[in-house]
Amino acid sequence: MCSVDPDELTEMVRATDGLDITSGDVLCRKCKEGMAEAVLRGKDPYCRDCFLSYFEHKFRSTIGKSKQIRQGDGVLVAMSGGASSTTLLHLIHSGLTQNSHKRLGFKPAFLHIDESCLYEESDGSANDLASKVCSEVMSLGYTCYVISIQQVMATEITSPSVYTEDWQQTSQHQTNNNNETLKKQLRELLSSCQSDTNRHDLEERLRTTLTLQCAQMLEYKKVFLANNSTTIAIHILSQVAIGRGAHLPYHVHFKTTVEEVEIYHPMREILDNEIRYYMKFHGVTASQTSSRHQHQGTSIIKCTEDFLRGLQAEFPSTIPTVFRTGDKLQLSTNNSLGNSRCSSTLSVRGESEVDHRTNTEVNPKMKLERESCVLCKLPLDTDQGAASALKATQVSLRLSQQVARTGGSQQKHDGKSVASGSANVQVIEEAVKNCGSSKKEVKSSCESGKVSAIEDIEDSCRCSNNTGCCSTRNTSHNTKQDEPFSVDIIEKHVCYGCRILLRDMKDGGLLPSRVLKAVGEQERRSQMRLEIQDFLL
Amino acid sequence: MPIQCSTGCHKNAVLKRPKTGDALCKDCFFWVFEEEVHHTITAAKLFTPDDYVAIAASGGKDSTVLAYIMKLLNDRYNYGLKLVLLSVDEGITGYRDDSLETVKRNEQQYSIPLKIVSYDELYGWTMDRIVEQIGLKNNCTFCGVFRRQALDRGATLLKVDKIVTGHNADDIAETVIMNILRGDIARLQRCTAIVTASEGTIPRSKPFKYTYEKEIVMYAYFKKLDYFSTECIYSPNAYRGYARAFLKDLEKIRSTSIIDVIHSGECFSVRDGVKLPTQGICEQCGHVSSQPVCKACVLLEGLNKGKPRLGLGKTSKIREHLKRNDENLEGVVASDADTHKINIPKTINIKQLDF
Repeated sequence: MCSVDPDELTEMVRATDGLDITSGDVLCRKCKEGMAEAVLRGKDPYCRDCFLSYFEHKFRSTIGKSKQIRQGDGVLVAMSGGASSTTLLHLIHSGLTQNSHKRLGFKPAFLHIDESCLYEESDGSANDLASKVCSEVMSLGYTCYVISIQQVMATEITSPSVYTEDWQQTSQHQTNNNNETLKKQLRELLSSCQSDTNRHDLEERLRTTLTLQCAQMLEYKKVFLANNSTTIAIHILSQVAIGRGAHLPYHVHFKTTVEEVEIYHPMREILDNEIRYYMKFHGVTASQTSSRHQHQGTSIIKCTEDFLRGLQAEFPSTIPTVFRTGDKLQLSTNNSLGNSRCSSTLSVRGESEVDHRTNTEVNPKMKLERESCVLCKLPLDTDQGAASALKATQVSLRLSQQVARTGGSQQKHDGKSVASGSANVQVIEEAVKNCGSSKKEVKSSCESGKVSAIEDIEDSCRCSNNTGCCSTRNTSHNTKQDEPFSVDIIEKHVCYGCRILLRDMKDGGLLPSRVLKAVGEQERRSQMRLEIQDFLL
Repeated sequence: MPIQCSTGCHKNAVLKRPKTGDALCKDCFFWVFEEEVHHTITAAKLFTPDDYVAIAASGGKDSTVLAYIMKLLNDRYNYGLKLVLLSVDEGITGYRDDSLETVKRNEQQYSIPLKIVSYDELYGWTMDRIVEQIGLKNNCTFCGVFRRQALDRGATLLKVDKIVTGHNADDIAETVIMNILRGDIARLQRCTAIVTASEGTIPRSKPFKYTYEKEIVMYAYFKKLDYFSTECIYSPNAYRGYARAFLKDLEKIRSTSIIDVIHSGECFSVRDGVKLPTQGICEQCGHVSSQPVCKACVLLEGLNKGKPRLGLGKTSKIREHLKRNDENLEGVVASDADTHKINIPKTINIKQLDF
């Protein structure tokens, strides 16, 4: 069939030849007096003054029209040292020092996450970045907090320290032997990711988690992130590509709230070429010029960036369009989903159903509150019903790893085969049915090495390979704190995108201990809910 | 040493599934492929027993495999469906007449009756003649707009309950990306729905929504299914091509990207207060349209008036033209409007939908 889109009606306009202002005789389109020094949208010339007032107005109006930032509000500004955040620092500073009525009223403090431990091997300059960024902030008279990225692995939340020249020494003194261990854990965690895409994705999750934790520790209710329009547009498309489309609003909207911290994107309406002009005109340089945050290798994020920037060159409205598309989305609520998706509550609990029949048996009361992903802290998006991409993938995996086909026709395929292959699938199925139907909260606890393949069956009913269900003790193994969680248990409490991360990782035990703690808490809560569900109204 | 089939059937694997990476033997692949489509059909409750279902058949790989598998699953699982093949003849010499031969063979092979509706019958224009008028630049707009309605009209003539189309997972992921790129928020929300229907219209569904294009080709290849694979001779350099190239790049990096994109698409929900186009009814033909006069009528109007570019320009120009037309209608030029009305009978009332 012809695959041409029948609705190819919204034509994207191709780029015309960009306006050339190098000759020096092009006048500003606004004041029609000054000589043009900047070209926006490929064709509009602006003089320096008109550009700067346009630029500052855009920034201030983004904050102003939201009416969210009030006089005296404390705001924690995340400061990577890149072009965007350096410009943000500059904008905030000039906004605060203006003596007119236009003065910005909030009280900023800055936070830099020191990621030197991720790059230490390549060069020793990483440490300098932290001091460079922080001293720049301090020189303007603001407080600058600094924390090392490896603190995300710590068991107890550590408070970021105020930057001093020897912050590293003092903070290391506090957690003396700890620091190296954390570094090692973090590197181990990141190197367990098998693809570049996942490693970059995980780094980003950890960075966000740490920023949130710092805000909570320092008791800041508001956080500024310096993502600009261009990076947000790239983010929109790459998040869609890695299955995180459900959380787009968190990256695009001016204000979002995660774990009671309000996150703002004050730079969201500014394009990166505008930032370049601003920096040029003000003589500002970014501390972080190297492309550290830019992703190398063959990651999806990099691929998306190349694609969008390429398309932008051909169709200048691409990035603004993508940005606006993302801006029109909101977090989907379950009842707003299409009617074709019958609600199935079991899918929240991972692949825990035996077959489709159980879908109908589930008590809808089981899902009372919307859980958050333990890894990225955003709402779970794994409850999309029986006819969904997630469910289809699970069915595919199940089918193509176990086809217990006799006679070739209407055979029910229940459960998963055990990886060793020695087990009789039928026996397990029987066993599972028995414990599944007898009492839901019953857990059999005998484990053998390979149970992971079947432990996601019906409420984690655990069976050994050959013997089927043995003793049915009522003890939940999760109450034991130090017992590691299997990937399947963790998977129940993470969102679609984080599941991809997790599956790639193989060993969920490498995750930050606070994440694992959250798994335990959520797991226990779902157990509790299961026990009392008959009495919930 | 040959790789064993991952299902443990002790046969040698012949392929690696793009969707999961598992190695499968031929028989297990067939089984898995069929079961998955069956799962999609049952999970999304696409049909009810005794439904009369039209399979949109173009002769290409997707629709050929769709026809085959609908027949097979209908027999295996007793869906109780009455099936019919529905083809649209756009009138493109060297492309459509060849692919229609394939559909006619399918009619014999699967013993499903076939109905062909042609642009010539429905609109009085073949694509070849339209291309003569408009050239190769915007011809695909005509073809696409006409085809969508043609399928609905054919379905109405047959009095079917449902239409199934061969759109696969790649198509849907591509559409999600394309709608993000061009900011089409209304379609972005619609395009991941497995069934598109609204009141008074024949529901359309996509049983291959979660099926990879590559696996469809594999299935057709190993089953030695007869299909036609030539690009349309008028095939253009469409904007969709960018989305497709991007998706292919993503797939190279991570083969599950296609499903991941669909998952993202399924999770979208449009913010309150965002204006979506409201769908009304075309004043002229009674099809559902977001404009007072639907696109097909405008395009046709342009063709019949010798102003083929009419429907391609600005909406304001179209309105202007139609307004002038109304005034003229009372006068001498009424004959044109008459032919127009013959072409588009008022009795048919189907929504134009799809992506």
